[in-house]
This record gives sequence, structure tokens and C-alpha cells, in this order.
Amino acid sequence: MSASASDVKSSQLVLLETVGMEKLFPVKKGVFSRVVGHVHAVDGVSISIRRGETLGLVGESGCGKTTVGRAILMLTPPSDGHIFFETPKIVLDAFKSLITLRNEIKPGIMTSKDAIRIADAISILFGTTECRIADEKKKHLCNDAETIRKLASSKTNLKDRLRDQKAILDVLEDVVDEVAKKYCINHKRRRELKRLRARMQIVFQDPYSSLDPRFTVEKIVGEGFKIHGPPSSAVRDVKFVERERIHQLIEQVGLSHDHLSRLPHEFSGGQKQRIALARALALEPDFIVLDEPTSALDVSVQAQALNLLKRLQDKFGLTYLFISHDLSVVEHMSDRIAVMYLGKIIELAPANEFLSNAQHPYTQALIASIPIPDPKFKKVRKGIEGEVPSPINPPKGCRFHPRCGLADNACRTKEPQLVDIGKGHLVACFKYGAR
Amino acid sequence: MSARKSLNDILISWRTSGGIKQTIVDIVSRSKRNSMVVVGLTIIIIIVALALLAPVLPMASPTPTQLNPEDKLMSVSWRHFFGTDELGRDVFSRVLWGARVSLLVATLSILFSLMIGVVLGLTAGFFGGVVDYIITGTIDLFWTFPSFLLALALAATLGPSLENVILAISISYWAGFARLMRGQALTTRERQYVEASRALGAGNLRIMFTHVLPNCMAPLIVWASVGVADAITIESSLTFLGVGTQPPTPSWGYMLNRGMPYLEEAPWITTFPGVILLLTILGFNLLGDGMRDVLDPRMKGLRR
Amino acid sequence: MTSERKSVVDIRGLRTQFFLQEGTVTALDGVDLTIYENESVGIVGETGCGKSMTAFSILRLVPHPGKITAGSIKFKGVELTKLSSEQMRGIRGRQISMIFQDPSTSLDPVFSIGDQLGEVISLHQNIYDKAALDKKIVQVLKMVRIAAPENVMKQYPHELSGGMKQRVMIALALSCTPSLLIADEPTTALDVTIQAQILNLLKEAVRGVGSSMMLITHNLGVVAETCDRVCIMYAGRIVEEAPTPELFSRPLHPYTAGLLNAFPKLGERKDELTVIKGTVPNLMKPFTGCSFVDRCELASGVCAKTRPSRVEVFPGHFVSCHIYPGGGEQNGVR
Repeated sequence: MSASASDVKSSQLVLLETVGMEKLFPVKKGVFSRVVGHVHAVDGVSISIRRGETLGLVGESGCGKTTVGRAILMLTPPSDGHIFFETPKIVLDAFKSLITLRNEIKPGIMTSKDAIRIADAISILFGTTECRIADEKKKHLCNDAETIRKLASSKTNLKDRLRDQKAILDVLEDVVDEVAKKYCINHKRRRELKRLRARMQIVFQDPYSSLDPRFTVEKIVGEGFKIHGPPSSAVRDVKFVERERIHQLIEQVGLSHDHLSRLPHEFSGGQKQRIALARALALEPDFIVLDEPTSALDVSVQAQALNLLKRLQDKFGLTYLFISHDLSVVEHMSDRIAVMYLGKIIELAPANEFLSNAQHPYTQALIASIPIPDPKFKKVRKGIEGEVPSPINPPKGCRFHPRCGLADNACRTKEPQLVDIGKGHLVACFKYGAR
Repeated sequence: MSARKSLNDILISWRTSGGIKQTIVDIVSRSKRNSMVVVGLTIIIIIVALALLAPVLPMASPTPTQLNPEDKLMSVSWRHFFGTDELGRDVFSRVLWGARVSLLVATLSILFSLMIGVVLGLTAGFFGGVVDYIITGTIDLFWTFPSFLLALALAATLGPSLENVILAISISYWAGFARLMRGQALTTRERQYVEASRALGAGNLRIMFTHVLPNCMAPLIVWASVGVADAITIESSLTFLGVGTQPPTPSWGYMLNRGMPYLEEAPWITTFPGVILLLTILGFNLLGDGMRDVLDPRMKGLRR
Repeated sequence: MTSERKSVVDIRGLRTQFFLQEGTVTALDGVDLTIYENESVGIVGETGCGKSMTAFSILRLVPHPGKITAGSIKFKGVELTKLSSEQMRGIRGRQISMIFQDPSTSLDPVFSIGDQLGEVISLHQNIYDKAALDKKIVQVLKMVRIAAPENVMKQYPHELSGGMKQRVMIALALSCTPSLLIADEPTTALDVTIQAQILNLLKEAVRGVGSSMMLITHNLGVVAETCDRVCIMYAGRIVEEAPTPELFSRPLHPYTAGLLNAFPKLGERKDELTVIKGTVPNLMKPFTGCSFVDRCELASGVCAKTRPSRVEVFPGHFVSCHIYPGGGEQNGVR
């Protein structure tokens, strides 16, 4: 369950990590709704979220940030990629290197060195006691690693032995599948997924439609118990325990007991969001996706809601993924901030680095576009030229190049990858440092 | 008097307790203000009450074992409120007993057809895909036949009897409910509270019956009321044509049919059943229309 | 200094009420507002404060069951509340025009952009010759910096992005050179990078045409950049009114100060945002004193009893609050 606040912030355990997550939506055209293409709403997103932190995710409409939140919770299951939950770092690192190897090494060009790298990664993965895969499977796959090493060290060049290469890659696939089955949310079976759901929750943007208008507040908040069973192993009256817990939750979000029998339409937007928050907290989750939770609220109500979110995070050691298009709010709430553009993450930095040292031209433009409530800053907000492009036909090369002042030939042809420029700051731009 | 007072007290206490009770109070108070509901409900209550009380009312039996030929075709009098028919039977009594039959047939048919239609419609709308395709195809198949003709064909094939009338109407009417619920399910399943429920771990069945169905109730109630009116019409028509409930069970349609030759000399044989039939159908139609007004704007015009 | 300027709109004591079954909602409760020529005034407030209703009242578009129950609205000297609906129609669109938050619902999806612009222009400016009309449409589209206006003319609304549609709306609204343009949350539905473009455009276009603008928004940042003067509305009343730099540097009303503090500001990583306690009052219940009394940190006895009057504390800076009984040197609240 949730650890207490003090030991949570200090531990660096990765609570959630996505590896190469993708979500494609089919585009249908014509009378027969033929699938003519795909929208890459999320295109290879790899982020990791530490326990107890708030990761902010910003971007404009069409960038895919909402889809990321939904995909992590398997509401819109990803088309590809892996979502790891509570995985030991050593397993994750080994897995990521295996994936990289899988993408790089194609049959026909595999060398002995490559094969040995694969074998080593597998051994690390299964050699550690932290890896929770069944022992026999581990042994089996470690034996396979040995076999790979033998194949690699034989006299003839591995490059010429296609069949052996294929065999090695098969082992690689098996390993990936085993790990995925054990640790990845999007490879779990329904019953396991249901249990996991109790630990990851979501608060939606629109308070008016996220609450069933026919359910009383009590029913809304208590719905989780109806699905997963009563809060603790209740020896005595189960209903009593449930009611107690619901009362507690209501108080924690700042509502009162006589609100419990009312219907959603009797509440204001801010109060509705509190109800949604109480619902999310009922099952004592570790991780909450906040999908534009305050965008529909007035400024003063927003302030109350954000303060409440922070307080609850400190109290229960929660981990947040805070999705928003409002950079000021994200910057206020987050420890680290990721910027998305057309389905990709183009920059990721700690919050204090973010403002002072934003590297990607899009991030800089985003920061410059924010209306500052202070007329002393009489800068002319330029905004960026051009329109926000549609994700159906993203530009070739760097996706931002049509709107970027610094774009050159490299930007137009090759896609920049995320590069670590120190202090935990990642940026995907050939021209970083150019300002 | 005290019963009414305590009823009011209950309603008042419910008004402030929120939740479902509050909903019911709101609906009741809105209904009180809607003239169509009031009139419709009054008519229905009167007729239903009379129909239910028929066995205990001090009147002649609708199906006397001994027929006295002297009683034939007697006009309206204190002894026979609606006169007597061509066989000497009391028309008033037959009308009331006929009401029992019509109401029973109508409510049961609509109930069955509702159950079939709701389950199939919800399933089709909620799951989509192949399931939806198959069910919608079936709906369309049944939908193309006017319910009356279908009922007629079925009743004729299955043989005339009360049970078969119920069956016939159920089979011909379910498509309407299914189509309605399918549409409702399609919109409701996209709502965010459904997604929120999924995030909590709810499975499809739970979502369908606790979230989707209750939110689709409003049009269902309206359709059911109007459906009962429709069903009564169908039943009477079937009986009129001779393929419905068989004599000696009294039925309005049968009475209308039998009284046709006597229209000039004894108009009461057809008139009274006809008028009561008309009133009943009107009552249910009014109730349905009125409920549409009571329930719908309430859903949309909620104060924020 | 304000007396020499000519006013475009002069509102005094405006009261708009809605007569519902459950009671009467007073959406606007005695609003005084003047907009002069060639200036942009921002109306800022939260949901339900009445800012949109002010605009609708000016245009006499208050939806049923609402009515303007008191006050006067003078447009260039003409009393609008006394005009017939035919006369109002002549004013709407030509002398006072309005753009809304969601351009998608303001444009008819089955007509091309050129058709819709053409309809408005030809009606109000009596140009019926097709060639002349097309030329005018292109000119108007160029004014809002739409590239390739000849192509855009033939397109349909769904083919345009949000930002483009809003430009078309601005073009539509300004095509007849109105004296007043009312913009109701024109950029709230747009992405932040497009917002900046549109607001700049709005500012320049309005100045270019020589109109005044009334910009309604809940975002103080937008107002800081775009408007010359700002009015803060709360619960149907204007509580503070000042030139923009003055309002931000010296907010006088406690509500204004609270609003400014509640905004998370970039770069200022506070742990908790200062919050205005309580909630917006129920507009159905009539209240005698200051509408902010339940939420104000500085409330005193008189605040609940009498309504504060509008006082000019600094030149051009008006406030309705009992802290400022009648002008003179004050330090403001922070």
C-alpha cells in the first residue's frame, strides 16, 4: 500500500515506466470505412516516474498527452510498447538494453559480439534475486543464454549462420515475453489487471461528465469497494467499515457528511472534482493520473484544488502524473516536466531547470507564449508561426521543423532522439544549446 | 385524511434527503404540475381500479351460465348501467371484465417485450462490433413489419388464445425497445463516468447494469406507457377479427365485433366498450407524453 | 482627463434579472461602465459573475426568462434599452459586433467561408456585385493575416483549424467597421501558442479599424497584455476599475488582490497558493451589503449592511469597497 511521506521522497524506486509506448488510431475513409492510415497519437514515449514525485506532462491539443494518461491506465490500451509497474531498476535496465538490442540487431548482420551482449543482458536479468520470475523459467532461460554464448564462440562466423541467428533472436523474444508477462500492465490478464487497477487511478478534466448523475456521492465514492471488496479485512460489520472509510475520504477532500446523500448536479465544479478525487483515493492507490484536473475550474477554485492535491500527496505519499496545457499550473505542481509534441516527448527536465534552461525551441516558445498577469512584462508575445499540425500526417524529420526558426537540412530529414544533457535534463533537438 | 398527511410528510422528508428519494420527489412534484400526466393517470387509475374490483362488485356475471332470452337487448337502466347485449348479458359487467383481459394482456406483452428488447438493445449498443451487427440486423428484420400485421400473422398461425396474443405482441414489439436502448447505450457508454468506472476495475456487466441502464430509463418509461396503449389497440383489433382471446372470455374487441349488426337498434353494445377502449388508450398515451415532458427537461435543465 | 473623451458605450445602473420558477436571479446588479473611443476595456471575473451577461444586455440579447429591469445603456448617445427590435438589428453586427469563445458553433458548417463573409458584408454594406464582393472578402481576410485568402474563401469551416476560424470570426466582426467589438473569451478554447497570435491580431485589427473593444475573460494575463483598462466583476457588480498597469501594481479591492494571488505564476514556486475562502454567493438570494462580505478577510460591520459606493481613489481608478470611504490617499491592499 502507500508508504509514509518521509521515506517515500527519498527512495528512488521507479514506480511506473513506459518503454516505447505507442498508440495508433485507425483512420477510416470511404463508404465502407476502410482503414487508410493511422494516427500516431503516441509515438514511442518512454517516461519513468519515481514514487512520490509529480511528473508534469504539457503540450497543446493533438500532442497525445491525454492519450498517454489513458494508455497507462489501460483505458485506451497501447498498441505497442511496455508499461512497467513497480519493477526493480535492475530488471528494467536489463530489459531496456534487450529492447535496444532487439531493435538494432537484425538477422543477417548479427555478430558474435552482439550475441554475447544479448547473453550477458539475459544473465543479468535472471541472475538477480530481485527478478520475480519463477525459478524454473529463470533457469531455463539462463541455460539458453549459455547456449547463445556457445553459438557465439564457435569457429565459424556467426554472420553466416542464419539459423543460429534466428534461434538467438527467438530466445530474445521469449525473454522479453516472460518479463512482460510478469511486470507489464499491458500484458496482464484480466483478473490481475483488475487487482492492479486499485493501485492506479485517474481524475478527469470535466467534472460534469465524470460523475454518474444518478449515483449519490456515497455511491460514487464507494463504488470501488463494491468492485474490489471492503477496505480492510472486516471482521465485523462490513457495511460499517465501508461507511467509515467513505466518511473519512469525504472529510479528507474537504466536503461534509451531509453531502453524501446528494446527487452530483447539486454541486459546483470545484466540489465535483473533490468528489472525483475522493473516489480516486478510496482504493488507496499509489499512482494517480490527473488529466487536466483544474482546467474547467475558476481561478480561485483551481487554487483550492491544487493546494488540496499537494496536501494529499504529502500525506499519503502519492505519485502524480499531472497532464495539462497550462504551463504555469504544471510548473507549480511538478517535480519534473515533460513536453510533448505530436506524439513524442521532446524535452524532459526537473522543474527548476525547466524555466531557466529550456532547450527545445518549442518549449521556449511555449514558455514565451504564456500570458503573464503583469503588464510590466510588456513583451510582444509572438506565439509561433503556423498552426498546430494534425497528427495524421506528421512532418518528416524533426516534427517541429516547419515551425522552427532554427531548422536546417538535418532537422528536415532526420528525427532527433532524446539526449541527456546533464542534471536529468533530456532534449530531442539537434540544435540544443543554440540559444 | 391522515394517510394523505403521512404521505405528504414522507415526501417532505424525502425532499431533503437527497439521492434517489429526492429524484422521486422531484418527479412527483413535476408530474403534479403536468396536466397530461394528471389526466392520463386519473383515467388509468379509475379504469384499473374498476377492473381490479370487478369480481367483488355487485353486478351480473359477464358470462352467465343461464341465459334469459327476455333480457336481450335491454337499454341502459339502473340494473344494467350499460344495457344488455344480444345474448342478454350485462354490458357494464362485460366491459369491466374485458378491461381485466385487455390490461393484463397489454401489460404482460409490453413487459416481456421490454425485457427482451432492453437486454438485446443494451448488449448491441454496449459491445458493438459483431454482436451489434447481428442484433441490429435482427432488429431491422422485425422492425420492417408493422407490429399489428406481425401480431396478426403470429396469432393466426399459433391459434387464437389469450396466451398466444401475449406472445404475438411481445414478439412484434420488442424491436422498438431494442432500438431505443441500443441508441441510449451507444451514447451512454462513451460517458466519462463509465470510463471512470472502468478505471476502478469494473467489468462490462457491472457497467451495463449499474451505469448504462439507469441512465437510459427515462425514454424507456415513456415508450412503455405508449406501448401499453399500442398493445391494447392490437389486442382489441385481434379479438375483433376473431384471432384473439376467444369467447366466452369477455373482451372489448369481441364486444365491438358482436355488436356491429345491432348498431341501430342497440348502439350501447358497441358504444360503451368503444368509449372505454378509447379512454384507456388515451389515458396511457397522455401518461406517456406527459412523462416525456416531466423526465426529459429535468435531465437537461439541471442548474449548475 | 476623462471628461473630454467621447464615450462609445455608457452604462449606468444596469440591472438584469432572470425570473425563474424557483426565484429571481439577479445576474447584473447595478453595473456602471463607460467605454471610450479607441480603447480596449477588459472585463474580468469568474464564472457566473455576469461578464457575459453585460455583453448580452448591451446587445439586448438577454435570453428568456431574463430581462433588463433597470438602468440605461447609451450607445453613442442613443438609449439602447428604448429601441425597437428592428432598430437593434441595425446596430447589431454593424455598429456593435461580437465574437464568441467557440468559433465552431458560430460558423455554419454547410456554407463556405466566402459565402458567410459575403452574406454579412453584402447585407450591411450593400455591396451586391459579385466581383466587388469577392474583392472585399479578400481584403477583409488579409486584414486578419490569413495566408492565401482566395483559397480559404472556398473552404468550409471544418477544414480550418481553431485559430483560423477565430480569425475568420474576427474578420466577420470587423468587416463593417463597428464602433464597438465585444469579444467573449475569444482565445480560451485555443492552444496557448495560437492564443498569442490571435490576441495580437485582435489588438492590431481593432486599432486599425478604429473601434473600441470590450474583452471578456477570466484570465488576468490576457487582459494585462491586451487592454488599456480593466474592470473586475464579482457577483453581478463591478468591484474595481482601473487602467491596466495601475490595477496590477496597486489592486485596491480585496477580491482583485485575491485573484492576483491565486494565479500560479511562472517561476514562483510557492508551496501553497493563496486561496480566497468560501464560494461565490447564490445570486437568487438578495443581499444588502457588499457581495464579497462572506469571503473577505478585511470585512467589518458596515460591509454586511450597506452596499459600498463607487469611489475614485486614484485618477481613473475606481473601487467599490468600504475600505475606501471617499477618495483620498490610500495604500491599497496586497
